[in-house]
Amino acid sequence: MNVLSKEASQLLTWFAVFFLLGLALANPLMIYASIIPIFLYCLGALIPSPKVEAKKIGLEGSAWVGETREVQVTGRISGGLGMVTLHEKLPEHFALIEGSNYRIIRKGFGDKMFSFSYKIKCTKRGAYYFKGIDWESRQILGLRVPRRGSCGRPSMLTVCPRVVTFRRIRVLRNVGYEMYPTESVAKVGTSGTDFKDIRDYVPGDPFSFINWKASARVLTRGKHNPLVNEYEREGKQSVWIFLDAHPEMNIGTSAADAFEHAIEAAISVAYYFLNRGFRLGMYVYNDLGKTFYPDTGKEQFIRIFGELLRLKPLGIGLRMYWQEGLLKAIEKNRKYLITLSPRVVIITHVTSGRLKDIVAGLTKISSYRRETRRARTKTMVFNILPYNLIPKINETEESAAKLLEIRSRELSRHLCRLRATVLNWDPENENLGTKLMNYMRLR
Amino acid sequence: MLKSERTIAKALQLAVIIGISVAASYIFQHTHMAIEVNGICAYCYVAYAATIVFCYVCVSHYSKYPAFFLSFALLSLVIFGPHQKVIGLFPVFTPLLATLMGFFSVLLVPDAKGRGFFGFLFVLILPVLLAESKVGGFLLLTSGSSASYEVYAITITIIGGCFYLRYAVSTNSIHREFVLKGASQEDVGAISWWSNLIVASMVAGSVATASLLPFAAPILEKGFQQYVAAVPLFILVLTVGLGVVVVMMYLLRTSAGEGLPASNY
Repeated sequence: MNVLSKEASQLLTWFAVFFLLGLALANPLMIYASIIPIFLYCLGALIPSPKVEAKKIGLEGSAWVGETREVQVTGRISGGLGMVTLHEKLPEHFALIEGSNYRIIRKGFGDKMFSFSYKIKCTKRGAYYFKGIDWESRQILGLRVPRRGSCGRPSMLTVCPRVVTFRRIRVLRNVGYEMYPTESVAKVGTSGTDFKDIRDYVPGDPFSFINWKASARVLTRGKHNPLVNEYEREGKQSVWIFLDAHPEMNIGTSAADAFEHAIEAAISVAYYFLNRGFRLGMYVYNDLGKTFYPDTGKEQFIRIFGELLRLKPLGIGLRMYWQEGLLKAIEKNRKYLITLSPRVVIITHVTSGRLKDIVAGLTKISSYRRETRRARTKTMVFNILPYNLIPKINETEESAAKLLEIRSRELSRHLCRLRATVLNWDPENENLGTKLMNYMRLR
Repeated sequence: MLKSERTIAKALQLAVIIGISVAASYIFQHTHMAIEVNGICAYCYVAYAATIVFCYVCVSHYSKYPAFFLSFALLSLVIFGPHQKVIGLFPVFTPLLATLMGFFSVLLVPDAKGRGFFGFLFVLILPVLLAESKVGGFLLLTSGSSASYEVYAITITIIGGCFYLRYAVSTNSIHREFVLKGASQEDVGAISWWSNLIVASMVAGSVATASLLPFAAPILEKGFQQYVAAVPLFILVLTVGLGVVVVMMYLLRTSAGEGLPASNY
């Protein structure tokens, strides 16, 4: 039995007023009329609020970003007379596509079975907890305090970012341009058995590598330094991703922003290289400074994928990590950049405020590699252009977005002058797979 | 679908408002006091004073200055005008004012939730409250041409109508809340019609019970006196009434003590 509401006590008051007035004024009509409020009060006391039992299907397991899920809710309402509201609270990153997650069901005299469904779209990665279906039952006259509760099992839905898989395009050797050949081998690491070259002996080379025949042959020409065989290193070249998590990357809506697309790009690039045997490391800068140590294989991908799934961009506030910048991030990971000499992918959004930092970062990478001025650097800057993600209400806003995009593209040209490969990506209008395909060719 | 159902519900509410006002107007004109002041029934003065007071009380729910202005205008009508004729018109004027107020606060502005109208109902119920009432053995009002059952029928019509409007208004406001929370129009439309029907039938049931009581009470009294004990009717009524109050108070207290049901909020 749940609590009678204020309305019910008011009915009792009305009954007392009519009844006592009738007695005081010797008016039998008033006494008879007092039966109306007391009759309604009795109805309120006798009729309880309905009870709800429900279960839902469709909000468990895992889904991809952008996937549409159908949620089915079925249940039974018993007892009482009134109306029941059922409500599944959805996280803000879920868009309701079809139907409604808020339903009202009337409950008549008998038990009532109900069933409804709605479709939602998962717009952002993350692990989401759904506690169950909230319900509220109201008695028809409202003489009882609405009964509230939650039913159905809690569930967890993991929304994973999409991994864009793109095919390699086999092109002619003389026209194929690309910066990441899939056959690039590592420069450091354990020596393999494939012969590469003969070179002069340097202190530290194992004696077993000395090519005695070749050394004897050059000795006759007056060269006293022995020659050693050089073998190809095992494994492929390393790739290092710098992912920008600056609060400015949050440009967009709650459903889609630049940071989400940056993560999508990072995961796709990681998948591409790890799938082809590259060694991959990663650093999320302007955040808590999370480093993924270079490694190869599926396990590394799962590790990166899991961490990026939980990654939440920092807001602007007292936490000052976002002031780190690319230059500091590169200096922090100097050890890996020098020893592995990896190809670097920087995923960011180029703005005038951060251009200086990116330029300084690219210069620093070049200095670590001791690259000549004419050599093309092995660095790619992934410039995400989020201006089309923002809804615009008038022409002025559209023009402003276009101007900002032009500005960002123009700034990225400065990076081209530093011999970096710049990939401008408008996630709203361009497909990531198609965009990356142009750069990830097989020579 | 929703529009037609809403229209039907509103039409029902309008019919009840008009019904109450017409019934009140009828009883206003067919009751009179034995005492006359300046050649007019003293009861007209009571209606006049109550109208001015409640006019201010009801309209001030929305805005104080117009309420004050309206009350002052009504007062000045009598002071400067041919006051006897004006006061004599008040039994007709008050139900008209109540109808307008009901139309405004129940039907026209749903957010008003009937505020102000229920104050006027107190004025409307005044004649039926006073008719048949005795103080010191004298009738306060005599119901001229109307018979006792006629007065009673009007009494329960007004009280029943008042309760119906009260619940209809609160149900409508709940439905509006549902719409604001995102419920579909079809769901709310279906619920709205159904709950109006249920509320109307419940109130009609209570009115029907009340209308049968004057006929059932003497039979019950006779049976009680014949088979149980010879107790005067007023003692029986008093005992039953007090018993009902005590039981209800007990129920109210025990249900309040149980606390709210388990909730995740």
